[in-house]
Amino acid sequence: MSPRSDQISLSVSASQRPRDVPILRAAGIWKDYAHGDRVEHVLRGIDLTVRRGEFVAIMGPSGCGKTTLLNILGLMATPTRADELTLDSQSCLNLDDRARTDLRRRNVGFVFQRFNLMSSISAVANVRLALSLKGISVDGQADRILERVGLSAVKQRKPGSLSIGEQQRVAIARAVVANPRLLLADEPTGNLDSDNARAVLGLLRECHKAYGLTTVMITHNEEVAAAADRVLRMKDGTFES
Amino acid sequence: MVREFENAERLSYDAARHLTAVPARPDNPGRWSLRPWAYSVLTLPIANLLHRKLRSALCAAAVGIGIAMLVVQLSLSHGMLNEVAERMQSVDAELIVLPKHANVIFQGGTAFGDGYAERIAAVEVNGRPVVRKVIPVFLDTIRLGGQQQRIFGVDPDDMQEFLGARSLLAGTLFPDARRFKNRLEQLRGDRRHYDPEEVSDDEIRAASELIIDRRLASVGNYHVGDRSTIFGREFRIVAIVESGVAGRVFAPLQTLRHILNGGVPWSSMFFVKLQRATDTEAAAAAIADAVHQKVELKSEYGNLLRESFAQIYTYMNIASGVALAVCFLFIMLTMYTLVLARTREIGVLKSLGASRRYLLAMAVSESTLICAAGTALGIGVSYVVRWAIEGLMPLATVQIQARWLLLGAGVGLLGGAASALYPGLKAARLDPATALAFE
Repeated sequence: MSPRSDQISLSVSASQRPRDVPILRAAGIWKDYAHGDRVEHVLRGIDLTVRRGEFVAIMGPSGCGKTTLLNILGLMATPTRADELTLDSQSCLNLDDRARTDLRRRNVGFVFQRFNLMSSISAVANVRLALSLKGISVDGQADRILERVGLSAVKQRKPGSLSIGEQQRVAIARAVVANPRLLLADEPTGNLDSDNARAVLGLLRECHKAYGLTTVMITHNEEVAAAADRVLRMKDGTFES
Repeated sequence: MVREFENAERLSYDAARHLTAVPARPDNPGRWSLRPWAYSVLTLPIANLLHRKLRSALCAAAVGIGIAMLVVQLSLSHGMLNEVAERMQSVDAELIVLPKHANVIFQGGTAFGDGYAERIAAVEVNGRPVVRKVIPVFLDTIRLGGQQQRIFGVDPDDMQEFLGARSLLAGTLFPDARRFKNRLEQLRGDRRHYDPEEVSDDEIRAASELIIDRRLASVGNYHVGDRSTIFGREFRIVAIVESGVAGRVFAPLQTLRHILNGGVPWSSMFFVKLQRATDTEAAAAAIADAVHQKVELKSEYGNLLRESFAQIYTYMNIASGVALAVCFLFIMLTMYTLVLARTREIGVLKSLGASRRYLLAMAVSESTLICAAGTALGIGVSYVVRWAIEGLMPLATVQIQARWLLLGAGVGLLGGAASALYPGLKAARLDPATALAFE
């Protein structure tokens, strides 16, 4: 009997592999920005290893390079120089745009502070979009995950007519529906009031556990960071020891 | 063994799924399918268009105006000439004899004496006479129905060659002109010419008859019995015929010759009716050889007419091209602005793994959809404009042909797709992190 489309495939997924295996390794990551003759070192030789299934929070003051680091980890930006950058055992250095896009599509989910939903389509269409970009048939999967995050009743509404808490829940649903190996969250509660922040954080934790995700989250909030397995603090482009 | 392990893994995961009540994930990145990808390449642009209705409508309207301009301009310019060409085709003759240096759009003049008609009638090919009838026409221009018209002076006995199968809608074909013709022949006797002084004003007035076609009658609200002053004399409308005859206005040949040419039997041109089963081209060559004038096949009249207007066509084509270029620059600017406005959304799509190909396809889809809507609108507007033009100017002919519609549609769709390429490529090449940081 063939498995239903909503069942997990027969292959051993990454999330079922031993948890002590690093899914993400970054070593000697530098990122420079040139401003005329002046060069700004935003990241200064960052070293980071994230194990499979781990929930890591990165804290630090504004401008310390957290988002830049997250973009590099999510293959949205390239480091100026790096000794190593591997995602799921695959080296990400020297990849062309197409390969990086492909790797990102297959392995990385993003949750942003400003939700970044597509305003012209409904909540459920936003979630379906993530599936369709992966070439996955959308059969009911998006509806089910929106039901899970408590948005069944508003799934046909466009983001503009949803509350900010609902928008972030849609964004989380969109990020996890296509089964990423790595979930990167850039201040996911930064735009939310405390009730919504708690709900969103709870949802992130729940998805993290249920899907066996590896999560790296940027936050300013100590309480939010406390939900992580490990907290790293950044300052001036490097981790504080 | 492997299968057992995999089943065990799946069961264990399914159990976990039920416990946590979180739906299963579509975990099969290797089984990529084009269908959902292509689906979103279409659905997202459609949603974007519907989301920004005013912008979409304005863009489509701009394209539509461009397409309508192109279609109407071509349909009007070609339609007017085609209509003239088709009217000439209605004459029951095979050849047209014109003054040597005249082109087919010449407005009149008296180049040929009766001697020419006799020489044409006598032409033989391979020892056999080929000409059945020579039909002289005296051309001039008049103003009737608010615009300039070419008046065809034709012999009353030749009128049937011009009317063909078209109906006489009202009145009688030259009821008094035949009497005038007979009177002039009587005056002429054995001579080539008669003395015009011998013809009374009453006789001329009686023979001052006009036949007009239905379109002109409609424009000028003319009826049988109405009178109009032409060449300083009062002519009366004696018949209205179905549209499609060679001229919009006919007058008796003898009357025009008498008024304008002192009765000298000269003509502006001849239509030549050939014997059945005659080689038309050989006959044309033989006639040209005999009279040393321009002899054209009637079937070629349309092409000759278009050649005569070649420079005007060039100008019109350039004007159409400029209009289209402006239209597509507008689309390109719109798409470019759109890409800038959507920089952040493009960043989001990139974060979701949208490839350059996807973003390019999306931009092209969106532009093509706008242009498809614009093209449909433009075609609709073309028909409205045709209706308006023909209502306001019944003598104007707007022939919307399938080829102009296909050209308009092709230009609209291909131009739309092409104009999205640059903004699409720009979107595709955006750095995702930079795009996400865009305010």
